[in-house]
Amino acid sequence: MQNLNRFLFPVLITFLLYSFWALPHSVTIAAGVSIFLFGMYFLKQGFGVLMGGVLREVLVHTTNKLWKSIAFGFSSTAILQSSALISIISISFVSAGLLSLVSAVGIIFGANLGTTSGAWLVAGFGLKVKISAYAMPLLIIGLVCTFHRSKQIKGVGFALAGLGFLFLGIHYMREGFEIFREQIDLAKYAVPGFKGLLIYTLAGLLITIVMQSSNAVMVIIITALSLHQVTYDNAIALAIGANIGTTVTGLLGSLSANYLGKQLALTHFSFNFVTGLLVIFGIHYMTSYVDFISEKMGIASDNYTLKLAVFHTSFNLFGVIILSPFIRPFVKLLQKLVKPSRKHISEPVYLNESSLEYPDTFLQSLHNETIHLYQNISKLLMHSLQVDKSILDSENLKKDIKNSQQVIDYSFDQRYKETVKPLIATLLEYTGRGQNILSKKEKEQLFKLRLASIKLAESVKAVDGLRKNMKKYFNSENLAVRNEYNKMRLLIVSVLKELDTLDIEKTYDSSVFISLEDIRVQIKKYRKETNARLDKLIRDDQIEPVLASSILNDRTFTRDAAKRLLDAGHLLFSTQNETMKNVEEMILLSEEEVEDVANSETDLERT
Amino acid sequence: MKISKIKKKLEKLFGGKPKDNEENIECMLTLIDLLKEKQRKLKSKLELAEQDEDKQDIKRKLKLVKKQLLKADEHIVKLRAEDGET
Repeated sequence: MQNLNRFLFPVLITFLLYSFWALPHSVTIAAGVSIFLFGMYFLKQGFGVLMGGVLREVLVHTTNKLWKSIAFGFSSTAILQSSALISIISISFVSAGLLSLVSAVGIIFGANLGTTSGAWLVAGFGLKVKISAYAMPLLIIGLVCTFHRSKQIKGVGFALAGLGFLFLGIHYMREGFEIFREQIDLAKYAVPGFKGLLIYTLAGLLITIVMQSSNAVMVIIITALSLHQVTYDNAIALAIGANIGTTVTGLLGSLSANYLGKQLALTHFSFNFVTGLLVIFGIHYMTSYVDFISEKMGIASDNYTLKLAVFHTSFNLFGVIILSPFIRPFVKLLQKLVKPSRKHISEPVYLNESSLEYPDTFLQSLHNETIHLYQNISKLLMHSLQVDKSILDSENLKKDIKNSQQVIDYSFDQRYKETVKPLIATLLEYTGRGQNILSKKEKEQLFKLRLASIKLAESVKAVDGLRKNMKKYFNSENLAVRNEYNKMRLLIVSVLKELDTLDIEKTYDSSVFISLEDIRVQIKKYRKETNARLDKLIRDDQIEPVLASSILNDRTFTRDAAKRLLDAGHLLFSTQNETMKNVEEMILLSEEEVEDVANSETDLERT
Repeated sequence: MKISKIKKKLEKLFGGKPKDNEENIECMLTLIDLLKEKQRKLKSKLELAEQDEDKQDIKRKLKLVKKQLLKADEHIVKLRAEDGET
């Protein structure tokens, strides 16, 4: 994308400067397009503030069926007048794992249809009424509102100013074409027949890629058509090109998204491309159909601007009807073709540029990525403890750990560099970058997730401290020593097993708190028991004092690792409900109470 | 009917914010349900356990749940008293 911009930018500037010099009146049209695009930017900002949260809320809850997804895409695009905004939200939600690819494709389909409402507005209203008269009051009131402190009024201000700029843009485009017509008659460049269809489709495609807005291109086409600067046949071809061009923009934008974003953009491109091809080859049927519908709607046969709006809607509706049944098989095919990279080095799965678009998708991606880090760390810790990850499925951990006496050959440093360090670096980078888009309350959630990463990293450091002795003594000939290291393995693996269950179940309720409190008791119990046991072993000369000191150190590392994992578990899997958290705090056992539960068992064991 | 209850009903009717304690009581009851469910599961597990070690492990878990339940009961009484429902 950057390379393309590097190439396109100077070409565009040179082209514009040349056309301003060669055709001085083209500057009015260019100004109209610029003001129109500026208006779209304002409108997007305004609706983003006003409806962003609501839209995202609705999006997650009303897209469980394909038809609902299509309806959502259609209505939201018709209201916001920006299919690009809906595409960005969808890509962001798909990347964060909040939306299925099939639902997202449905939304994009609906957005394709919703975007045609723009053509109706311009052809039916914009060209008939002197809309510049509405532009000025809207601009003034809108801009005054943008200075207001309230976020909502600011949003209204941006939306009104956006609408004002859109009207003003249309006015200047129309005026520009009128002046231009006196200088040069663009209609003489019209190319009839199938050749013209192909040339103008390509032209529409290229213009949309450069302008990055099919809506703006459609307005130019309709304005030019209303002033007979382009023929109806060529205008149709330009509209087909614009429909394909808008997906190329998305395709280029998805280069920075993860594989899910790429799958979505590729689906959008493929479907619009296929629809475009079908319409090009069946153009006569389509135009006859448009004539028929226009007649039924009472549109005059020479009212080409409205007929173009009919064509635009019919063309997109045709695509949705014909291709909707193929969404699921096509998505399945894409999932086979575009897969996540399977490099040995762990790459972030959820965090990417598109996850930074919205606070909620960003926090969800950050949460998922931290869990991804936990999963990698869990594997690393288990290998450091000389157990295979399959032990997490064990029904009897104590017995299976005792029996697991095979040395696992691996390089800790290499594994750490490949599977943990890159993820920690990404998480730190994104927690820094994402802060700008979060509210004060959302930042608290971000800091919790950052703390979870830190706790996980600390657990690795603690296990790193004991892993050399672990490798040396976990299958020692001295049964007492072997037993000590098995107890260390048992404690950490028990915590990992519990966290693994929480990760699979994903309940995020108070059952998590109940499970984690039990781990707290286990850690306390481990410390109590080891103290008593170690004293006895030294007294009975079963281990040398030097080795006892190593065990003491390793015991501290073990406890540290278990505590850090427990903290991370609380931060990652606990409920997010504030009241529920308060209630959990109320029944949280004090250190003495935990010790009492741990001690009672020691008493039980003694009796 | 007590005035506080009428006030609460009116608050609810006109979309007023419910008292924090009301939510706390609801959440505490959910938590108690979860704890009781856990207690029930542990008790049936204890009946099936054969090894002494396993039995002790389950007993420890049961003791923890019992302590949590006791605390929860104490708090729910307090919360209800604050809410004027005693």
